[in-house]
Formats: sequence, structure tokens, C-alpha cells
Amino acid sequence: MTTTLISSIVTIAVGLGYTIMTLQLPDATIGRALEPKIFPAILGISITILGLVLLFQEMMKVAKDKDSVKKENAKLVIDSNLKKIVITIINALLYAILFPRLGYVISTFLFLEIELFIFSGFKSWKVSSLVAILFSLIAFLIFSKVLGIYLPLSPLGFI
Amino acid sequence: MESLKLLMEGFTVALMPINIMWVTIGGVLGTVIGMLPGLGPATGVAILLPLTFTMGPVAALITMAGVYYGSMYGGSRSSILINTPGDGAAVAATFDGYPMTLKGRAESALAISAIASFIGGTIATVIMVFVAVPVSRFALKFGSAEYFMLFLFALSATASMSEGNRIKAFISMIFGLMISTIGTDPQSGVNRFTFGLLELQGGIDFLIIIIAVYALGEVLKSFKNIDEGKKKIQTKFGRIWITKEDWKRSLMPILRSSPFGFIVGVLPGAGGTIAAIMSYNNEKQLSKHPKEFGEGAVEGVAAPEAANNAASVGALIPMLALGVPGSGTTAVMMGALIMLGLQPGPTLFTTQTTIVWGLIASMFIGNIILAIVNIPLAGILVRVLAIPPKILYPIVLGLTFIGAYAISYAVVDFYILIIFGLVGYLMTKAKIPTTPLVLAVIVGTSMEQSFRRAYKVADGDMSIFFGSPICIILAILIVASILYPIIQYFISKKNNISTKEA
Repeated sequence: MTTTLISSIVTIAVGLGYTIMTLQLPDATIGRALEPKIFPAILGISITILGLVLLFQEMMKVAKDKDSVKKENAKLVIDSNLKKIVITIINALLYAILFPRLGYVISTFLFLEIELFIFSGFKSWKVSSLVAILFSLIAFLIFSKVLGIYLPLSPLGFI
Repeated sequence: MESLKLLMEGFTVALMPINIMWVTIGGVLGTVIGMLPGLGPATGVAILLPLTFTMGPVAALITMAGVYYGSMYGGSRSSILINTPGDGAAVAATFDGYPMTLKGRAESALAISAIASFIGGTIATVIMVFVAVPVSRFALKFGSAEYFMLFLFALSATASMSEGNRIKAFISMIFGLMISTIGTDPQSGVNRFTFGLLELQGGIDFLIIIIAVYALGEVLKSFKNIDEGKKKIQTKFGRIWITKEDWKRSLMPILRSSPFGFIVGVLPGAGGTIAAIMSYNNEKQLSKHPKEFGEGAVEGVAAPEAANNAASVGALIPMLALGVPGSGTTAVMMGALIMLGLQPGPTLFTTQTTIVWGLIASMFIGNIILAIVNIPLAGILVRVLAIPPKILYPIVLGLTFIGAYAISYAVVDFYILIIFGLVGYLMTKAKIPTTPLVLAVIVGTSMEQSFRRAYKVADGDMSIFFGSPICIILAILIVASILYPIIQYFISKKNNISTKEA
């Protein structure tokens, strides 16, 4: 199972889904009824066709040359790299959830702290915490005060 | 000549002390970001762009141009010192730059790359001064059908020139166009692909996609490399300058590569990377000592550096004069202009003369400032590379989020950022190029509007897209750009076979 096979199947699925959604769009009441559907329809059909072409191309390649499967094999290797990425994503989602509630500085501090732990481990917690605090405060000062970008404040009121 | 008069006016704006300050700040930030491996000009501009919203349009544009420029200079720093290019265009600098460092000639390599970049950029800007207005006047002949074909050409050329499987590049492109259709259709009020979510009715801001794919996706990708021990980096430098011998050998390559790079940059789909590599190959073939290339030949650094800076200026022409970006980075710049309320295209040169010529003038100034910053101060800047990536990359992540927030102050953008960051990462893993997607998202709405206008005017008659000479030429170019790489492939295969037989 090569990555290209997976991507081609995903492409076909997305293409079909998009095309079906396009056909289900309501007719426009202003202007030509079908107009909002034309461009998306062309896109949806083209991408589905391309996905099919890619699929065939890859199936031919795999059938002819067994080595290529080894080269592009899509094995899900559960290694530390994957864990880092997954935890980062979860960390980011947490950041998004806490951001409006705890304000910029606190939520950014938490986000960076966790992120730095992912990268450097718990041993260097002093350095990580220092970087996290410094970045959160400096960024807040520069962007909010100097550049005038509105950043949400924490329940504390001033920061 | 009128252009020169406008340029002088532009200089009065650009030489205002505060604008010089902005171009310097932008340039330094751009150089630093451009130096970081994996992040490049596109990422740098993408991250810093939202933060300029609160500045006036001129200041914002000048800062952005500084970042754009600065990252062109910066990309080669890490190529030379640690053999890790900051971006695609800096790859060629690794061929001879790193060997020069290994031979203890890092100072010369850094100096020549800054000097070559400066000359390349300045020559290109001069050419641009004369070419910009005529090109924009030519652009006035473009109607909706012609614009649609032009967008299609830019996108398909970019997709065809992408590395790897061309089908994947086109899939990426169409996917980007699909994303651009999300939202309430302005002409009919129909909600398309919004999944009932109020937040999606305004469509997905292309800036978020840019930041997600270029910044977040890149960081996720670099996780793997971060653990790989710290590369030893030279932090103490001697005087960063070149010898007379170096200069003699580099002068002609620089002068040849600059106009060449400029022209390559103007073509949609081809940008700094191709310009740099092609000029490297050109100089290798023209050189009296071709064997030295790859071992630390100073021309091997000078030529690509001049070419890639020239190309980045050249790429601005179609973007400014036609409103069609030719590469990921110019697409981001165009996003900047749109965000500031400017409409790139022929009208830009007729209505917004102060801003446009202020920008062009600041490019000259930016070049000078960056040359100053990069030559004597290179040693200082380079210390950034000594900061462990383990700390640097989380900081970059922090910047991507604040950048995303600054766009529309909507937390929902965080979620979109995360989703598309993942998408960008997965695409890179699946070897699907991301640049066609980003370009498509940026031009998608304009492209569809052009399509629909042409369609309406022609009352559904598709032949309007082949109606005018411009359309026909573009159609031929589109087909050519798709077929050209295929033809090249077959020619190279035939050559291989015939040399085997010989």
C-alpha cells in the first residue's frame, strides 16, 4: 500500500463528495439558475478524473515493479516523531479552546510550555519555562501595545 | 520619461526616515526567517504579514517588501554555513558555498553571496522600472476571458514545473480552487460548501491557508530533523569581504545571471529556484574551470545568488502589473496588497502611483540596506542559527498563531489553521506539492469571477475563451507548459539510450 495509492483514493473520495455536494446546491434565484454550480462542477469532475488516473498509474507501477512498493510504503510507524506531531496538534487545539477564555498571555504560555516539553523533555524545564514566559510577555507587549493588534486579556483583567 | 519622474516621486516617499526604518526592520526579520531551514520567504511574509495591518499601506508594503527581499538574502546563509538551504532558491548556494566554508573560506562565500544578491537585485529593479508601465498598459487589453486564461496559465505552469508527479501537482491545484469556492457566492447569494457553519460563509481567508501550509506544515515536517544533533556552526568570522581574484571571477557570471534571472522570474511557474539552478548550470558550461564547480568555486555561489534575487524582482512584474502571481512568494505578496485594499493589476499603476513607485523606490533602498546588513553584520545575524531548533521552532509556532489571529480576530481561524496545517503536512508526506494549492486558493475567486463574467458576456458560448489573439496565445502556452516537461522527459530518455548505444 503506497502513499500514492492512498492519496489517489482520498482524492477520488473528495472529488466525488464535492461533485455530489455541488449538484445538491440550490438553484440561484438571482441570475442564471445553474451559474454558481458550473465552476465547482468542472473542478469536482476534473479532480475525480485525475484521482482515477493517478490510481491507475500507481497500480500499473506497483504491478510492474515490486520494489517501488517498498520505497513508498505507507506504514504507520508509531515512533516518537508521530507522537510529537499528534501531541502538538492536541496542544494546538487546547490553545484554541483556552485562548478566548484565559487570554493571550496565559494560553500562549501554556502552549509554548507544553510544546517545549515535547521537544526538550522535562529535564530542561527551567529553560523551557523561561522561553515560554519571555515569548508570551514580549509578544504581548510588541503586538498588543506597539503594533496595536487586539489580543484578548485574561480573567485577571490587565494581562 | 514618465516612469523616471514617478520613480523620483517614489524616492521621496521611500527615503522618509520612518520608511527606511521599516524596510530595515522588515529586511532583518526577513533575513532571519529566510535563514531558518525549512522556512523561507513565503513563510516569512506569511507570518509577518498580518502584523503589518495596523501600519499604513505604504509602511506595511515597504516592510513586506523588506521581508521578501531579506529572505532572499537570508536563505543562502544557512546553505553556506550548515549546508541546509533556507528555501528552494538557496539550494544552489549549497553546491559551492558549503565547500567554501569547509575550506575555511566562509567569509568570502557570505560576502560574495550578499554582493551578488545586491547587484542582481539592483539590475533587476532597474529593468523593472522601465518594463513595469508598458506591461501594465498591455494588460489593459485583457478582458475577462483573457484573465481567466492567464490565471489558468499561471496555475498550470506552476503545477507543471513542480517537482515530481505532475498529476499530483494538478490535483493540488484543483483542490486549492475547490477551497476558494467555499463561502457565500457573491453574485447569487448561494451558500457553497459551508456545511451550515456561519463562520464559513465568508469563505476561508487565503492568508490562513498560506500560514497553515507554509508555516505550520513546515514546522511539523521539521520535527523529524530537529533531533538530529546540532550542526557545528562557525560563529567567529574574519573580515567578511572578498579578494580581488574572487571579484574578477564573479563579475561576468553576476552580470550574465541577473537579466537571465529576471526573465525567468517573470515567467509564471518559474521562480528563484529554477533561475538559480539554471544560471549555475549556465556558468558551469561557460566557465574556463568547470571542474572547480562543486568544490568551492566562487562563481558557483555568485551566479545563483544574483539570479535568484533578480528572479524575485522579476516575479513582481506579473503580480503588480497583471494581478497574476507567478510563485508562492509573490502570491503571498499579492495577498498583502489585497489586504491593504490595493488591487494589483493595470489600474495599480494608474491610480496608486505613489504607493507603487514608493514600493519600487524602496526596493532600491532595501537592496542597499540589506547589503550593508548582510556583509559586516552577517556574523551577528548568523548567531540565530546557533539557537537550538528545539527552542526556535516552538517560537515559530507561537508566531504562526498570533499571525493567524491578527487576520480576523476569530478563534475559528485557529481551527482552520490546525486543519490545514495537518493537510499541508500530509500532502508533503504524500509528495503532493503544496505550492499549486496555495496559488490556487489565492487566485481562485478572481479566476472564477473572470470565468463567470466571460461566460455571461458570451451568453454561455465557450468559444469566447478562444476568441482573441491573446486568448489563443495563452491557450497554446497552457498546452505547451503541460506538455513541455513531458517532452523534456522523452528527449532525455532518448539521449540516455543513444549514449548507451554509442
